[in-house]
Formats: sequence, structure tokens, C-alpha cells
Amino acid sequence: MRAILEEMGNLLGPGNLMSDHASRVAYAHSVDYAGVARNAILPLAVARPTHFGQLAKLLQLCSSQRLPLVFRGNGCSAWGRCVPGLADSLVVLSTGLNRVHDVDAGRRTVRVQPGATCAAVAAAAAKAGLRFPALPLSPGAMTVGGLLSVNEACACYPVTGAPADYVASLDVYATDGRKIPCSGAAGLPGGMAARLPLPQLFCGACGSLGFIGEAVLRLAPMPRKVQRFLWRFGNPSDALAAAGLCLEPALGLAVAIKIFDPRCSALLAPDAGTGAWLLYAECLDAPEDLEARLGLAQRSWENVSLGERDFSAALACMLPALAREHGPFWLESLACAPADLPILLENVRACLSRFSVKGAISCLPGLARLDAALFLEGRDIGPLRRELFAMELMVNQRMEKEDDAFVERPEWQREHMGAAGELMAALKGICDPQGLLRGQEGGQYEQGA
Amino acid sequence: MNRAREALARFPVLARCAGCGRCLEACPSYGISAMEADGPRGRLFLGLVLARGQIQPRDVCASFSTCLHCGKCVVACPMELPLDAFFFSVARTLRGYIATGRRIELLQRLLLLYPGVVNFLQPPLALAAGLWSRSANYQPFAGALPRLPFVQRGKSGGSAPGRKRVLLFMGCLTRNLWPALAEACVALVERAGFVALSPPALGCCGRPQLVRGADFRSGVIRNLAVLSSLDFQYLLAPCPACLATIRHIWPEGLSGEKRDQARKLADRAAGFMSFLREYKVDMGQPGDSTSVFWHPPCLMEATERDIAIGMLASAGFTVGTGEPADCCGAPFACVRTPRKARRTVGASEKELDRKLAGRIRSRAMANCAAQIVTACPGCLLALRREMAVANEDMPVRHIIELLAESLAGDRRN
Repeated sequence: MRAILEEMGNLLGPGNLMSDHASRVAYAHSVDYAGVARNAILPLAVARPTHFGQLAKLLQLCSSQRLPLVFRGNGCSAWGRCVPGLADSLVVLSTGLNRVHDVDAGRRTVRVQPGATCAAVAAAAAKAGLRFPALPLSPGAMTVGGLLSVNEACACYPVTGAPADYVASLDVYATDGRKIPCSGAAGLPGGMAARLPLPQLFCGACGSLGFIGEAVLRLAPMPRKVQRFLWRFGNPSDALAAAGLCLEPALGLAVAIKIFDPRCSALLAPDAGTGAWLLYAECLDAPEDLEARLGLAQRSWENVSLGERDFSAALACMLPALAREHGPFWLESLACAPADLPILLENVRACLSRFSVKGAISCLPGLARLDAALFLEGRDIGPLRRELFAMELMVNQRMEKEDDAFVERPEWQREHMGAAGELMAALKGICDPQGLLRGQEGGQYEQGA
Repeated sequence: MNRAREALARFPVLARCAGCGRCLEACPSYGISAMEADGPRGRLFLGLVLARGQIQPRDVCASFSTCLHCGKCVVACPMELPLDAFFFSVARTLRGYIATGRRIELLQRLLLLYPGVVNFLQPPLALAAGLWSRSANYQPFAGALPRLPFVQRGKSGGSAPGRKRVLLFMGCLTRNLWPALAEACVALVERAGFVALSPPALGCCGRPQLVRGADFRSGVIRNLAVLSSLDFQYLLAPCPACLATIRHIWPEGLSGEKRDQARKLADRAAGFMSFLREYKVDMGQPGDSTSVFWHPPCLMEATERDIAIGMLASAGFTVGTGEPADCCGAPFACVRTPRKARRTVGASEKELDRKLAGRIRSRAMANCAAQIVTACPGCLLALRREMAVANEDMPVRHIIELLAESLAGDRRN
């Protein structure tokens, strides 16, 4: 093993291979201190390649030695898989590959390396008068590679989809060092046909399908203004009604909204009092008299001052913190077309009748795989996301009344993945034939032992 | 060691860390090295593992020696975790592993416990430093003659009955390295209509010892004995680190009657900028739209920073600023990892120190600033040294000096 480490050190250059004990311990954790800290598996070493040639050779070396691999950005993901699941794994960091190339203002795209932070992408886009809509809650810490790996849309920013929707093209590195370009609607490697853009299959795979390389991201025009509101309601009906009003076509808002039940209120807005339902809305180019036009005065509402607290930062912590306390029940809420709201509610009722609330919405880590399944079934992604959004609106009411049994995630996924499972298995065979990608999964939802 | 570990284990609230990484964005040392062990989140984890006895101190001391104790992670943390208190607690645990060189440690102990000895030795030391620094191309006195330490003014309170009094806690660097800054502090306090007190017997605030995990309480108790015998309305300090230590660390580090004394003292400690605004001391003549680069000290409170920027802007300066995670690296003057415990990878404190200061220099040059303005004597030290080593002649000034000069210009006119 020493010889392998020496070879890696020569390949990567001084300071880019960390095998000291403190570094191995530091990179053995991700989010859940209470659980993972006790069950931490130390990596063999931590490698930080600084260009893709080094990365390819490193992966070839690991493949030849059958070393387990873990890919990691800045370790901000709540979904795990960036800490070792097996002893003697090599953690490969993307932070050494952090260039943001010039923005193409005409095409509204930017080419970025996976270790660039989302804040760096946003800054580069802003210089060209553009924005990257799918920013996460910790843009200064989360890398682009990490964002695409988890494909997690942040409800705090106006979004019209998930980060994967903004990927024009993507390179993925298989564990044997081969570069797999995935641009547009190119066919799958190995000749497999697919009816969906290939890049989106790799987004959301949480590092289980290869190392995300350079990506070309689509950008959007900068809004004139972004406003954030936090309203408090005494009952869920008013909160839901206000949410629906936000989506009225007459207002023409590009809006992301999220409803928090009283259990979250204390965590997010301590001054909101107990029993309060909070509606958080982030609007682009909202009219000045938005609150009046929403007719909020007729409801039991109150404006909660955000004050100096960085609310989006508080929300950044909400998901893993609440998941530890209450189990994996939370969803992202995504903007949807206003006219769909009645349909959404109907769909939600249907969904709820098929499986339990908690089980239904525990699908987040597999959302990308579910997307793939639906694509293969010929269904558009949009309606699913809209269904899930409306489901969240209903969840807040159901959670208070019922205590649904938790449906095991694997069973639910087996029921719904179908052909997607075969597709993912095929991709896995192409990208990780030796099964070297062995990050630890699920620890973020388990209470410490 | 076990007691220290028990102290570490008393931070159960740290398990609330959500791993969001906001602290990484704010941490200056993580911004340079991008290594988990150099960021607050990684240090938090290492500290918790150390408390459980699952790692040896010698394995983690290098990570904690790169902690600047700048407090930016505390401000950034949305869960409001007491990271600073935890990291100081870890420093106590690692006492003996995080240390300075013997000469600096001796100097720090002298400053803490026997400030009079330092005052006596300072003139020949300054002369020797001036001779030494010329050969090393680093001239802390920038060509001026070495000055006597600031001990001449306001020893006992002045003879102005009826006038309110302000105690100026000058701190080690202002009194010994930047006496012109000390003179400027006195001038501004007098301009506000107060009498300035600056007892020569006051020693160091204790922060350098705290950072090293050493016991600072004996020096603080000596300072309290000096301060409790004086009558004053406000305590001001030209160094935000001294002010933060007096306000927050002194009361927490003591017990009993001493704690009460420290709390009463902390209540009278005020920010220098807030004091000047309260008593309507502002920049005199408008500036000539000179571009300045404002470097806010890490431990300067947000309201103080806002007032400082407002003063500069209203005086006609064009103010450029850097990034929130910028730090000059001055705290690295307090710590060095012993050779036996140094990491083989990652930057040393010295390298990080240079890179941090160099980053600010680069930003200031990119801003085409005529000078760098800061509000901390430690930042003055780090940035002036950086300019000297880089052979740049951009001045680095303390905002109090600028204020005093502008008011002096007003009086002359």
C-alpha cells in the first residue's frame, strides 16, 4: 500500500495527497456528527487532482489496484456518499478542479469544472448580467459537482426545475479513468438508446455513477429585483390559500414558495410563536403591492420580519436537522404553473391513497432515478414535480392528523422504478464495472448510536 | 488532559451542526488551503473526536494552529453554534502542542504580567529592531525614528475636574509599535470633550495567551486591579481584538468577585467608532476623492464597520472593500506548531500568513487604492510587513490616525 501511495503522491504533486491521520479523520465525516462520528470509516488517503489528466491516471491506478473510491466536493450534501463506506477507500476531491471558464453571454452558458463553488459560478454569471437559477442554500461552500451529484433544487431561490435542467452538457469519468462525454441527446455508451438527455441521468446519482467532470451550464437573465417574504398564518388553510394566490397567473410571478409547519417554525423563526404556519416566498420582479394584491389582509396573516438573520442560511440547516429529529419526511417545493393547482391537489389525493405520506415523500435521494423511470415510461418530468409540490401542501395538514407508517424506501422504489432500475444497472456497469464507488449512504437519517 | 477533554465534551450543542458549510465560506484559512482540517467544520469534528479520545493531540494541533480565532465562523453559522468558545477550549487541551517560539512566549508573558519591564526595555529593543529590520527589508517604523512607548500621557487622570474621563486600553501593539496611533487616540478623545487615561501599568489583554491555550487570568486580574482603582465612564481600545477580549472573554474566564468586576468593566467598554459618532467627532475636511481600500478587522463588530465606512465615505473617500473571508493573518503571530507536530501536507502558518496578507495586498492594488485603511494595530503590523516584503509603497493607516490628521488640518485652517 505504501508503494501505491507513493505512486499517487508522485502523480499528484506535493500537497495534493493527504495521508496524515488528521486529514483522514476530517474527511471521514460529512453531515451527521452524532451518527457518522461514531461509525466513521477512515479513508486510506485523500487525493486532490488539479487537472483532468491527473484524475484519469489516478482512476486508472485505483482501478488496477481495485481501491474503493469516494468522490467528494466540499462535503455539504445531506445525502451522504461523500464519506467512505469501506476501509482503505481513496477519497478523491474535486476542489482542485475549480476553474470557471468564460461565460458565453450570447448562448447564456458557462463551462465550469466540478470543484468550482456555485458562488463562483454565480459571480461569473453576474458579470455578464446573467444568473444561475439553481443555486443551493450554501453557494459559497457547495461545489458544482456536488450540486449536480445530488441534483437538489433549493426552494429558497426562484427555480423552475432542478439543477439537472440547467446542464447543457456534462463529462463523466468512469472509475477506470475513461471520459464519457454526455451532451444533449447522445445515445448511451454501449449503444443503449435513451429518450432522455444523458447528462440528467448522472445528475442526482450522488456519486454512484462516476466522477462528474466539466459541465456546461445554462444561465438565465438577471431579474431586476428579488424579494423575500415570510408570512405567518394562524392556520394551514390560510397558508395554503396564500400559496395558491402566489401562483395566480394574473400576478405572473416567478416564485418559489415553501410552507413550514409549526414544528419547523420554532427552528426557523423563533419569534413566530408556537402553532404558527409560515409561508416563505421568494419572488422575482414582484409588484410593489404584492401583499395587497394577494389579499393577505383578509386572512389571519402577519408579516414576520426577517431582520438581520440570514434566513436562507437558516434554511440551509433545516433539512438535515429536521430529518434527524423527525425522519426523512421533507420535500423541496418547486415552482409550478398556476393553472395546475387544482390538478395538483387531485393528484395528491390520489397519491396519498396509494401510499403513506411519509413513504411517498421519502424519495428524494432517488428522485433522479425516478425521473429516469418516468422518462422511460414516456411521462414528462414536469407533472411529477408538480405532484410532489402539491403533495407537500397537503402533507402539512395530514401530518397533524395522521401518523402514517413509514413505507420502506426500497420497496417503494422497487414498485416504481421498473425499467429505470435496469437502465441504472446498465449505466453502473459502464461507469463503474468493478463496483469501486462505495460511499456511505443513509447515515444522515440515522440517530447517533 | 482528561479535564480538558471533559471540558470539550461539555459542548453537546455542537452536535446540532448541520454540515451546511457556511463556516467554510467565511473561514480565511480554509479559503487559502481548501482542506477540511483547516476549516471550522473539520476542526469541529476533530475537536469532538479529540474529546472522545479517538485521536491524539499531536495529530490535530497543526489544524488548530491554523485557526485564526477570527470569529467569522460564529457569525456565519446559521445554527449559532459557540464555535469560538469550543476552539478556545480545544486550544487549552492542546496546550504544549500549540506554542510559539521561546522568545515570543517570554515577551508575551512579560507583556501580560510585567508591562513596566517592557516599557523600560522598549527603546533599546526598538532601536535594535530598526537595525535588524533594515537588513531584512522590513521596516515597521517606516523610516521614522524609533519612538518611545506610549507611557507619557494621562497617567493618573489629568487635572480637569468636572470633565468625564475615558480609559484608553492601548494594548501591546499600539503602545509599543505604533505610538503615533496612541497619540491620535488621545487627540480624538480630547476632541470629544473627555480626559484620556492610559495607565502605564496596564498589561496585555491576554488574547495571545488564550490563542495558545495558556492561562491568561493572572494578567487579567492584574489589569482589573489597575482599572478598578480608576474612575472613568468609557473604556475604549484602538484594537478590536482587545475590546472583544475585554467584553466577552474576561467575564467568562473569571469567577466570583473578579467576574463581577470584569462584567462591570465590559459594560463600560464601547466601540471607538460608536463613541466618536456619539460625540460627533467626524472626519474634518472632505477628502479629495482618494480611493482607499478598507480592510475591516475580523473582530470588529458590524456596527463599528458600518460607522467606519460611513465616516470614510462622508469624508469624500472612494472606499473599496474585499471579501468577507479576508483576514490579514496577524493572529498567526501568536502561534506556531512545534516542529515535531507539523503536518507534512498543507500550508504552514507562515505560508498561510503570507498568502492571507498577500491576498489583501492584491485586492487593494486591483482596486487602485491610494492607501489601505484598517482599524486594528495587528492588521497594521501584518499589512505593513506585507507591503515591505513585497516592495510596495502603498501606505497602511489606522482610521483613527486619519481622523486625527483630518481634525488637526481643520484646526490649522
